[in-house]
Amino acid sequence: MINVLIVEDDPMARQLLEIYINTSEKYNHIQSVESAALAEFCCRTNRVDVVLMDVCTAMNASGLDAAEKIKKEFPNTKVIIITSQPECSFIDRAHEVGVDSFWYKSSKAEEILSVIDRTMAGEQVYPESTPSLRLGDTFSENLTDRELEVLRELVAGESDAAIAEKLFMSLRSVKGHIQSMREKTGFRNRTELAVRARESGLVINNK
Amino acid sequence: MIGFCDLHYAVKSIFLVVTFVTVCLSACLLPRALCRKKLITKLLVPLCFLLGGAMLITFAAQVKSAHPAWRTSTVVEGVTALPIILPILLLLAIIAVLLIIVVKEWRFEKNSITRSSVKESLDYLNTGLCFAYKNGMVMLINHRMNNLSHTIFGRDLQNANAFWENLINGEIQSGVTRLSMGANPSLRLPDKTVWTFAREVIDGITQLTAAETTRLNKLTEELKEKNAELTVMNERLRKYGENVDKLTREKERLETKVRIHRELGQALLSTRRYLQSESDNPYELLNMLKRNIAMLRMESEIPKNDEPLDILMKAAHSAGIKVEIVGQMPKQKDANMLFFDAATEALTNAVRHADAKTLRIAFSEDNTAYSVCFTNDGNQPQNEIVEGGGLGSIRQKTEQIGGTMEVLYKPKFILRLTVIKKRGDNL
Repeated sequence: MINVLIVEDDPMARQLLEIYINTSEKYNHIQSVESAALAEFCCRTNRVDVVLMDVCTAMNASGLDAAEKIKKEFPNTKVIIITSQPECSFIDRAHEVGVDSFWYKSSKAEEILSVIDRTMAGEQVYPESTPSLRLGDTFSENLTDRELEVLRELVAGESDAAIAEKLFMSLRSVKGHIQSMREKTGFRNRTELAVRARESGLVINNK
Repeated sequence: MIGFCDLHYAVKSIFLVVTFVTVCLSACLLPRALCRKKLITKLLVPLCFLLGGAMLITFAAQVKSAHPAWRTSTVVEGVTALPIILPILLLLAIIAVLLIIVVKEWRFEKNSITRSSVKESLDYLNTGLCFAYKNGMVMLINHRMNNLSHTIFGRDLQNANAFWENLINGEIQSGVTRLSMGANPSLRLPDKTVWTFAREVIDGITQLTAAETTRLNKLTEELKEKNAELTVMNERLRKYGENVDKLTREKERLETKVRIHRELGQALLSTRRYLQSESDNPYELLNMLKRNIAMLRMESEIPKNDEPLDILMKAAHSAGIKVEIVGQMPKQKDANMLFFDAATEALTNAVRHADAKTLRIAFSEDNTAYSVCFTNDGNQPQNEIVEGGGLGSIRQKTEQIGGTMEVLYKPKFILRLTVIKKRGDNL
């Protein structure tokens, strides 16, 4: 049997994943935790073969950070990120930290089980592309990486000066990126841009 | 040959007037010419003055000799009897020399800077300027600075050092307001203009400047107001983000419910197909039904999330580790998050490095700070703890919020964190 650890803070989604695993004959659900901060501990105290983990978990613990630690300490343990957030940077970061597979929560049970099966067979399963999200008059793919970085800080309520300091760019560049995004999206001001971007889930920054 | 004495009275008068004007011109140029460095200028102007003067006296004496009571000397008679062309040529030469010098002086005035031109230009400046010796005695001051001194203190600027000290803490006239102190004091005058003063010592000379910064001050105040508005807006944005998170979770749950019902429909369809003998895979159908029953049960009993420490205790308990907690987790958000992170790290390290069976967490607080102390009953470290990625990250997070972290390894391992209480955050 393949031991599965579930890291998910939403009780309904967590139970649903538990049901998927429990009704499958191949997998054994050994534990569920709400916070990714405890994922490494669970892998250390149990024989975990595969971890199904959300990105945003309880106490603001990032599933991607936890995945990085797990892959470093337990390279044989497979990590599958299952998220409902379309945040464009998640897939890139998942690749970067060595996550084995990445999939979306909205999929059917068979689809999720199939992703686990393929991952256990050694395959890396990732969506073909980041979901395209509409933001005002434009789509997410029309925004540059640097604009998205600025937008990510903007939705966290940072001032232009703080963004400039954090991203090591000049204040003028930050203002330029915000202006460029406003022109592309057609939003009237930075607040509207931040609110709509946050609502769309395009960028997530929980501080 | 016709001499001066033979000329008509009217012509003599004209000649004398021209000579007089020439003498006056050379007299005017004398002080300037004597100040010049060039020797030729220094000599020519006095020479012109003397020659012109001598001509004026001689020819005036000859004219006067017409009077019966006036007796002329033989020298005067001899000179005035000389051909007229000679005094005319001499007079023209003197006029030519003087004109050349006048033109040169005019050019010099136009193209060179003198003491008075410096003072004049300073007085035209809208900026207040004052240069003083080390002891504060004024060397040069312009009108603007003097006016400012009058408006601010009601008196002339006599001493630059005293003026500067008074700007910062001296008595000022009513209607004048101090806006900012420090290296560049700013004052608002009764006419609503704002002046910013600066002091600099250059080679022992003190330079005081005053610049009008009314517009700059207005813009700075507007910027401050806008920044304050922006800060409030950003805070609202952050809180809005938290609400969006809650809404997103609600949306996710709704989508999950929709998914459950969709799968239920699919299960019923598969059951009908099986009953109609269209499908021959009872195991797949059984799994689907099992899953659906579990989902329906789950939907009627949605569990609630545990408190952070309960999450930790549950995970520890499942691994056979006992967590003993003394005191209460602080409610202050940054301390709460940090202490939870530290607790998970302490739990992981207790298992990883100390093979511990019990983790003790002691929360405490005083009037100024929240503290937490982690210990365990495992093998105690023999050497100083080297902070790796986990503890290093906790230290970084602690310092980011202005807290302190202490790691002791003797006589036993202790991890202690302290976070300063935020104003108005007392339990």
